[in-house]
Amino acid sequence: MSTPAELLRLRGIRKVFGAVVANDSVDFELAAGEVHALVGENGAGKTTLMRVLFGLHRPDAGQIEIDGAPANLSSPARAIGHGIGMVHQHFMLVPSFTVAENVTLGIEPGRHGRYHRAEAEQRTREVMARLELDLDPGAVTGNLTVATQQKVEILKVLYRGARILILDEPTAVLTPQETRELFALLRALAAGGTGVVFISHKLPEVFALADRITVLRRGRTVLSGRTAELSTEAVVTAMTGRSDVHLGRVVRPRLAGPVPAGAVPAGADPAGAVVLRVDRLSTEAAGADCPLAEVSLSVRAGEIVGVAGVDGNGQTSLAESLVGLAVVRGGSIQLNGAEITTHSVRKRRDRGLGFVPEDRHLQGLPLHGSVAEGLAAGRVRRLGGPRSLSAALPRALRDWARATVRGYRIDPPDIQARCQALSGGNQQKIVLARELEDAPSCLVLAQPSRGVDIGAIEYLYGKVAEATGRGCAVLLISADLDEIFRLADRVVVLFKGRAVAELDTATATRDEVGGHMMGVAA
Amino acid sequence: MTAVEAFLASGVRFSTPILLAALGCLPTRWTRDLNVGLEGAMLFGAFSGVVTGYHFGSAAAAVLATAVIGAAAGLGFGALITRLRASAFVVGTALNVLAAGATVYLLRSWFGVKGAFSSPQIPALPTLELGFLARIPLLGPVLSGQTPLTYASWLLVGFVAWASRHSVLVRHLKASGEHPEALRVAGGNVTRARILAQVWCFALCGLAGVQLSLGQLTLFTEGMTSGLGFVALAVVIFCRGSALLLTGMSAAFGLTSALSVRLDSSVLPSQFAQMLPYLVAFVGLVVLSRRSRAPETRMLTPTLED
Amino acid sequence: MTGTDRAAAPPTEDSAGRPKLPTLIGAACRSCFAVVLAVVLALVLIRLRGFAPVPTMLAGLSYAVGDLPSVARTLAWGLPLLVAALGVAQGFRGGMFNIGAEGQVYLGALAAAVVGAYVGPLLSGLHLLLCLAAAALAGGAIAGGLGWLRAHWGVDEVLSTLLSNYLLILLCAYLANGPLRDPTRQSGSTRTVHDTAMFPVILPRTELTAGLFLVVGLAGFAWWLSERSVAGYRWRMTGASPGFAAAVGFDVARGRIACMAVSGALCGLGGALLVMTSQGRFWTEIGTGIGWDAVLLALVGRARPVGVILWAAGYCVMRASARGVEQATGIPAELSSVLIAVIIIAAAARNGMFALATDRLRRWGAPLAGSGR
Repeated sequence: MSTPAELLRLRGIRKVFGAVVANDSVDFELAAGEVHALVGENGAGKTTLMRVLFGLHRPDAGQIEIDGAPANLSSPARAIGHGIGMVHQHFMLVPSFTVAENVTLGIEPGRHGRYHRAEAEQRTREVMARLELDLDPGAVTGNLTVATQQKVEILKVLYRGARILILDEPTAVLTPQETRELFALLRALAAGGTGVVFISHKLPEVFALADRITVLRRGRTVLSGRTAELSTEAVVTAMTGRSDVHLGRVVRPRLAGPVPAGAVPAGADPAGAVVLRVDRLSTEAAGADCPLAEVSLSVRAGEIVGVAGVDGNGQTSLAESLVGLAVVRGGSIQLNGAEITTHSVRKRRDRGLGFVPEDRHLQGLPLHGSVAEGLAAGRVRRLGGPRSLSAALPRALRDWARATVRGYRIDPPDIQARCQALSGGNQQKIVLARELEDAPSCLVLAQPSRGVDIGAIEYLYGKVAEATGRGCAVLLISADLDEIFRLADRVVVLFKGRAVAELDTATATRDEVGGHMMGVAA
Repeated sequence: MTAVEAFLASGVRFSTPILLAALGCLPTRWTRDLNVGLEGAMLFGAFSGVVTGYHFGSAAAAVLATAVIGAAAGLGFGALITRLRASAFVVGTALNVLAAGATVYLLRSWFGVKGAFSSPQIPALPTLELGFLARIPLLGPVLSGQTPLTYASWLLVGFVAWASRHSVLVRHLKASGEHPEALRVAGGNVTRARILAQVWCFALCGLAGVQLSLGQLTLFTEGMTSGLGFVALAVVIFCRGSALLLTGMSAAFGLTSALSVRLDSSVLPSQFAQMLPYLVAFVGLVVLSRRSRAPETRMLTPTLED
Repeated sequence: MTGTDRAAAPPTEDSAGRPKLPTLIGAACRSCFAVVLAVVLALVLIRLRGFAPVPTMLAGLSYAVGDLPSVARTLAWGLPLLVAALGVAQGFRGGMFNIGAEGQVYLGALAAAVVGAYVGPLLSGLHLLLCLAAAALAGGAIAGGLGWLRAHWGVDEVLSTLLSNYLLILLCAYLANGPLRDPTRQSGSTRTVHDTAMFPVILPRTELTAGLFLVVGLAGFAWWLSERSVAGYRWRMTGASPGFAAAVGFDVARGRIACMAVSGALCGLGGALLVMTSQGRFWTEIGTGIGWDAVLLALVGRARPVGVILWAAGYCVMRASARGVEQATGIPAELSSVLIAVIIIAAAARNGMFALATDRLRRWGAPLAGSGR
């Protein structure tokens, strides 16, 4: 058996952005028909490396060889010309364009600047047939589901005849079943001779799909080898640089201390006091997410209830209606026994509701503001009315902010740094620090580990666990099943805005939950 | 020609600069670099029309020269907002002030006059009596006898409407505004698209200015655009990208302006008559915002952060 | 990009929240570049008219700030502008783009002139207060109303304030030419206000009035309000990160309206100062574009009160110098409008220009620095 042809070789790639060394002397090879996983924490340099390969960045040093010959990839057009295609983590699709328009963007059929709609749709259908996909080329991309949009992204790449396919965190937005479909597709493409580069930080998937694994940490290659010869522990150690990272269920302290005032007791067991009760909640449709239809759930003090579901099935609506940002059409929300359904965000927070939003850039932090401003929001909120002209950030508050930043090990420990300049993990620490400072009786967490590296995730889970030990009731809304199984006691599954299942995480399986997420009764 | 026909004809004449400026501004809406300096560009165009007409003695030369100067200005503006990453809002606002100051400065420096400049040497735009248009019942006398720029603006409406659906360039313009990364990775040139939109905008705004200064009375007055640029901006924002709606609104504003000039001060004090176009625009703005729930009304958001 | 951006950005502010010296110097340098460009342009334009550039500019400068009466005159001229610019900046800071400053200045001037002429004469301090209150209320009500339209009906305030300019100016023109007209004057003007409604002159034989103290107080208040106070924090968060502000429980709608109202009130006060420190009455050409200048100053000062004050001072000197140049050489004073516009454009492009320049330098320097690691 002859060794498979080497499609791609990256040698000594170095890329610097200002003071940040994103890639430092990185080597990477890809053979035809191979699935090679590129693994690392957020900020390790995986995406930068692939953007260099795709011609979006020029490397400061190093060489790229394609089919054995050196290649100058100075622009995406050049990279596409060499047969490289990239499916980005955040889709490169114009929402208002149709599928055919997006697939043919940049190489539109037609002469003299005319856009030949019929021909574009015909050619799109041809590529779809090759992949055995069935989509309407005239459908508006923005209206499609996320998984379907991802298929359109792959279509785009294959339409240009890519032989090297790069996928950046493709499974972040997919259910287990959709992930399996994607993997089958990738295997089929690999069998046909395409080389696949698969960027991920989800190790179970990497081990399921990849033939080879390369681990990057802080811009350097720290480990590279065949999947069969590597262990999960070795890869995790290489990714984080620590050997004590715990990836299993998060240990939680026993519930201690008094039950929050007003919480409805159930029987004589104080651990059973219901803090948050949602009763047949229905909302209006808002934005891209599904409206809720009669969702009921409850969270007890010290408990973590997970809400699983694919993006777009009501998770955002649930989070926003709980916090008070979305209009409720029917049903009720009770916090510690008090009816808060019509309360403003401010009143709910004053009553003890904490919220870590899924989009921390838009809702969690003032991006252009300082760390101090991001931390101070809770305290400032309480200074309303006549104290509006007093100082917003007095010395006492700044001292507290500095102490918090030190306590949470936020890097850099400068309270005047712009929030924008911090890494995802540090940003999330600020959000959580601010919310926990208010000692909420109920904390709503929406997609808390998105864009956060493993070390910071550990820390955040630890803080959440501590809070539950103090009686905080936590509602964990997450599209990441691993996260739910690590943290939650029970899991509620949302599908098309309805709560279709409620399971115990100790006894349920991922497939069972995944099935409910797809609307298939287990 | 009856009084009504005269009124309608002047309405058409008034709406031409608004229509031209709005058609120019539309691609900048697509590329999300909305040009708020229409007022300034039109004022420069009016000035350029008078100066080049005076110098060359021919209206055609004035139109051509102004179009070329406008295109060059658009190139500069485009370079400023793409390569030099300046805010389109800030530069556009500054352009309005620059135009007001520079035209007065040059008027006094070059011609030594204050307030207005007129001369028998300045050629007027010819009016074309088009037989086939004049024969249309009712509207005939209104549609015929307009300047070439007016007819050009009507042709441009058709062209823009066609291009919106069928041209690759417009696809790229829209992509560079809505999702520039997508265009970039597809191998398209976002910078070129954005600059092209500004070149088009400035060239057409220049022509709009020429229509103002050479269209009926051949003179340049300080501040003669008097807010028409902002009215055109309002039209572009209201029209939701539809060329047909854009035309209709421009016509509506043109007629309102014509009305405000003709209203006798015994019917309505002159200041209130002058308010009419702005009042219509304001009411329209409120009604439109009330009816739409989309956040796209927030088109003009400038950014002060780097 | 934030996820991959791991380097610690050097702290830009010290522990008291004040910008550190290197950052201030860097910002000053980049602003200076725009000013230098404008100065060069001015020299070129003067030369083109056939006059010696440097002596002409010096003559202009001496007209502006050459001696105490000149300084007093320039200062007095700049007071209304500064207040209006601070008003616009307040709005910008809260994310509300109040481009209607010109109209609000006019309305404030008219309100102050009417209260000053038709009410009283009263005790001087009281009369001044009433006139100022009327102007602030007028400007604040208009801007607050437009802010309400934005907060509750989503009416984009940029366009609505732009259009409101023309509506207000024409309305004031109608009133000054009609019901409120002073029959003893030819052009549209209201009655002269009582003496008790005018600020007393503090420097004899100049135009500098006690309005200076009011303006200093307002400047301090504006700075405290937008940079340090709780209300200012809420408005800044609402402006820069409205999603964040809503999620942490701030009333975004109320903040927007309040911010606009304060902005309009300050612009109205600027108009009042026009009447009460110099003109003594409202007439249809009273504004002379200070509202538009205020918008430009707020833009170039990036809505920070300190920056706005510095730029306003520089702009006043520039305008006065241009008038001095016109007196000496006949070069139109509109030169200053041209220069300020060029400065704004250059300032807007400065970051891009510096980024481009440093990028090119780094590319040229890289092979020289050696590619070995």
